[in-house]
Amino acid sequence: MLVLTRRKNQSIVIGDDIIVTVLEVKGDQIRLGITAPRNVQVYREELLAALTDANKSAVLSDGAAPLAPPAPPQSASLFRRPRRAA
Amino acid sequence: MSSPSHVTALRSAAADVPELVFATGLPGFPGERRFALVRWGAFEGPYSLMVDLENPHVRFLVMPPYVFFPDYVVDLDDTIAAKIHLDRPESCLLLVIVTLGSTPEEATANLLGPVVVNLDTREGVQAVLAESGYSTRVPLRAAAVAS
Repeated sequence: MLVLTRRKNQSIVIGDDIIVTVLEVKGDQIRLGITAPRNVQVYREELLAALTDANKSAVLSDGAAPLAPPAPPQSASLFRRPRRAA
Repeated sequence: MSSPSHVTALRSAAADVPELVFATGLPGFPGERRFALVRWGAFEGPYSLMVDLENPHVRFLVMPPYVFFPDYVVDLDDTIAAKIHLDRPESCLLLVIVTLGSTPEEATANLLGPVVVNLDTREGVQAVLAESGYSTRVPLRAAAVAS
């Protein structure tokens, strides 16, 4: 892991077009500004961890047929057809 | 446990398989992944299975979110759309992954990370709705009761 020390308003550059700037340091919180191309997704690591965790537990287990999930509400329509008159 | 024979059968009839390509995989399942999308349960039901064609033990239960969550709003950013070359809203298929519990009541849906499919190119990606406030485990039962 590369370790760099930066002060407020200083930046690091990643690759050709990603810039991370320290905007504010307050106690144990740091505000970062990130400039990146639109095709680069930026989000908090916890979100990725949460999705990884959710996906792993969503894989259907082998063996017995999966337990039926609840039937959809009666009113639900898969394709949002207009509700029929009663 | 035998590997699901329907996958093999479907693969041999490849032309008919709704096969989805996830170029960057899904979180926890990296690398390019190809999934067959097959109906699951009653034909009129909302559920489908996404079965990994290389590893059929990796199967996800998916459904269109609107069945249980009619108010679900997805604000797709350009990054996600670009990943699957999505340029027409009508080509977009939105699915959410369902996690089953030990009872039907414990089933949850992942509204934080919906699966977005480009129906024209059959490319798929799992979006991360970073600022949405949605959770990865929203109970279906609660939604069914609330609606």
